[in-house]
Amino acid sequence: MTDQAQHQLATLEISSLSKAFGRRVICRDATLILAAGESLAVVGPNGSGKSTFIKMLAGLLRPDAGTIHQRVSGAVVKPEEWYRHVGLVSPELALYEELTAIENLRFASTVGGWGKGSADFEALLDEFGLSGRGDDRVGAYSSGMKQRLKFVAALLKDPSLLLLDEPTSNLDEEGCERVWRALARRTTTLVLATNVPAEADRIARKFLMGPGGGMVADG
Amino acid sequence: MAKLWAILHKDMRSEYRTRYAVNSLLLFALVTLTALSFATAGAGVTPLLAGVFYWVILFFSALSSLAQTFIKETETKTEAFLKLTAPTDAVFFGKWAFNLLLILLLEIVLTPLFIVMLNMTVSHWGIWVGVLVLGAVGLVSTTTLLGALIASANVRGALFSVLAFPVLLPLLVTAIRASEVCFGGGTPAVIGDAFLVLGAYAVVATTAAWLLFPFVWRD
Repeated sequence: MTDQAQHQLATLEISSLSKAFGRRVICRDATLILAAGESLAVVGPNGSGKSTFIKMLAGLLRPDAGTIHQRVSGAVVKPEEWYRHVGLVSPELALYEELTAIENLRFASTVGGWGKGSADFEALLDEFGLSGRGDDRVGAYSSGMKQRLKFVAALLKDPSLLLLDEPTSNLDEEGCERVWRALARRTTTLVLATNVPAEADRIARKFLMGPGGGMVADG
Repeated sequence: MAKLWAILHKDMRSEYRTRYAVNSLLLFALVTLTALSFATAGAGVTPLLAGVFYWVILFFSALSSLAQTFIKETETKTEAFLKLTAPTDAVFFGKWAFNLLLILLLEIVLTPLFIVMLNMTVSHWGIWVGVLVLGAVGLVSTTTLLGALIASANVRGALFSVLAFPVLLPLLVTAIRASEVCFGGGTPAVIGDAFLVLGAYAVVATTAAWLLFPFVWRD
């Protein structure tokens, strides 16, 4: 959010990060520092390991070697506490389909201790074009609406680090515009994985994943 | 406590709307009980055999459904949402409480049917209830941890049974011996030792599961 204090943003320090599945190398010896509030586009073809990279940054997957440090307010966040600071939109993440959108958001806010209420839910649902649909079960949503709701859930916690994996998949043109407008209104450390050139071009700094799975370049 | 309750409430609401676990739990127990009832019709069921029947039904019913709380999170891709939202302790005790409610519900439904269909008499109701509650706590603590452990595996069902059986064997044998006394057989003197074993098992299993759960959940 524009009034978000600088000290709430995350700094990412990735050092000699390596990950492989059997013989397939996802990344090898990757090193990178992402300053607070900075954005990074992770680009590469299908199967190059972008999603795996994002999962490691989210703390959902352990690297084979190397370290990822997340700093908030200058202090290193313990890996078991990362979940408090990370917002994730990914095809690998879904909300509870048998619950309504509001029930999902209320559950997340309560269990995460975010202190958000109905007004916050409604404001975010409205921002993503879901106003009036908060009481519908998520299972009844279209795939595009589910994608919008993932953004609502990720942004509800005011994340210090926002990780987006294929963020505009399933979204129509209006949905894409809403996403980019919402991101422009917020200041957060952002990592976006995409194979859509137009999306990657919105972010100056790029992290390239090679077709063989190795990290190719940074910059 | 509010976070634990939020997870328990979410699982209860979700279960109420989908009947994901409760159907398999109750159906397995009732079908097995009916089969046993027909098979033993006319023949007397000894107190020892009654104890064996009761706990075997409870054990395999638990195996068929208690792991579902975590398997469902994995299959529906809500696991990442939960991991990035909730503290580990709240997840463990929320799931543990939900599984305990399921097993207690099963015991409430199964016990009167068991007594009627197998024509049994309970001589010591107070002891019987104690055995059921302590047995349920031990069973639930073990299966909750193992459920989280096997949720990401490919051969979940087989793995769950193979892992659970040796761990739960002491509980099973003790509960059967204590139940034999409750059904009017065996030596009443074993009850004191049985309570000691069941109580110790419940405390140790719950503590060990709580301490080990973060490694299973976050790694």
